[in-house]
Amino acid sequence: MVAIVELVEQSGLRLTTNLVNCAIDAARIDMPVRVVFEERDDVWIPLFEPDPDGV
Amino acid sequence: MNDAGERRAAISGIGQSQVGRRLGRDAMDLTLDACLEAIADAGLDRRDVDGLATYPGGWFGPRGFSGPGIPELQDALRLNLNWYAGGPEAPGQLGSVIEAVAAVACGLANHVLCFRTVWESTAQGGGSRAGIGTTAGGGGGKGFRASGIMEWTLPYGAASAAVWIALFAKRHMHEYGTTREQLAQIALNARRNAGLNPKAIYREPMSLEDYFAARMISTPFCLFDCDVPVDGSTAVIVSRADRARDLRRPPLRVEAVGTALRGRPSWDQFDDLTTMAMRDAGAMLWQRTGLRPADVDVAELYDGFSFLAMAWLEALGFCGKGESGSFVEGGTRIARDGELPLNTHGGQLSAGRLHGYGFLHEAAVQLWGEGGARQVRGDPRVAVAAAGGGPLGGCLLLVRD
Repeated sequence: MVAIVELVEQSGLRLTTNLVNCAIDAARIDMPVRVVFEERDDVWIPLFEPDPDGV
Repeated sequence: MNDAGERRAAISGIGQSQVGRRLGRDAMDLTLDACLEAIADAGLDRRDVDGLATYPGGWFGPRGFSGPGIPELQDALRLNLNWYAGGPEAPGQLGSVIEAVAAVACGLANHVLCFRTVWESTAQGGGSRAGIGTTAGGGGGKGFRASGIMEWTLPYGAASAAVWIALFAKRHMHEYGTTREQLAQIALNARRNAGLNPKAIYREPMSLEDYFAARMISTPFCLFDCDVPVDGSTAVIVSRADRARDLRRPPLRVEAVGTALRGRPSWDQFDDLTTMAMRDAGAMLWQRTGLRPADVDVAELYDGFSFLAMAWLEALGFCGKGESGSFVEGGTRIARDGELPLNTHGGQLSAGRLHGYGFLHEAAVQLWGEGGARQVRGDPRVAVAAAGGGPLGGCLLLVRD
């Protein structure tokens, strides 16, 4: 699932990324997410999953 | 503001090749058909053409995305040029036409032949789509490295504008309550008009049920929200307004253009994810003319994806920000007999992806009253043509005096 994520740490800085560990029907614009990294070859790709502690 | 330089330029002729799926014809062959037709349509001889402009330049991008470039066409037509320009970094696909407008307005050329050729249907018909990074650089396997913009999108499967623009559409739905039923009106309106255009690709009637039955491509875009790749070439002649008066057709004066690029020109860093570069290009256009959106008789707005036409409606002030959904609701307002006839040839969604130039061509057809069965009634005299999405956007306001 492709998503654009804006970083809490820097307003206006966004990543086109994947939302993972989240059912498609459960995805919502403005839902809090947290980063997870996936290793592909020698690159670590930032992905995001729902953050149960987020606000 | 009536001293805008673009008023010294006019559209004096148009041409278009055969348009179709998997024609198997050479791109130069199609290009020459369009260009020779445009030159004749203006009542010119090729010796009169002293300028040449194209987007995005020769054989640029994935296979089928463009045809011959400036030097090849100059050679094929044996033109004597005083000015030329061809390249992808312009205010949208019609940016090449606006460059020609600027050239004639400052006297660098008298008659500029502008053209855009695509042969994506034939190029893609023989196999998978070229140009998506996974196929262009080694199958996406070990060792493959995406570059440029793809470096930021391809690792996530966001491989094409269908995905990037779908995110904007979703955001628009989130902010303004826009619905798929409203989005569908762009596609249904295009199809109704295409039924009256002999050159359109998809002419059979389409219902809202047909739309919802189509497979999803990238939520919220189904198949009918995405334009159809074709083979074809379109050409227009931009002439000095004072030279155009004595030609075959009543000149279509360029009243104003919009070419602005503000904010961050990016698919994901733009300050407002419900609009794109078109926002500023559209606003600029109205700063250069005393005419207002209510004066426009026909609107030909880029619909490479259905949502782009809605975003252009807002950018050009035909409705308020976020109001394009309710503006197109039910489809009556944008129909041929509505208050703002939209994409009267069928747009790229149904008439084929001629990539921007098709909208300008159709604007001229309507202003010259040659739309046949699809001609808008009431003798239209003012038309807007706009093209582009994401960081690309450019628009022209044409007037038949």
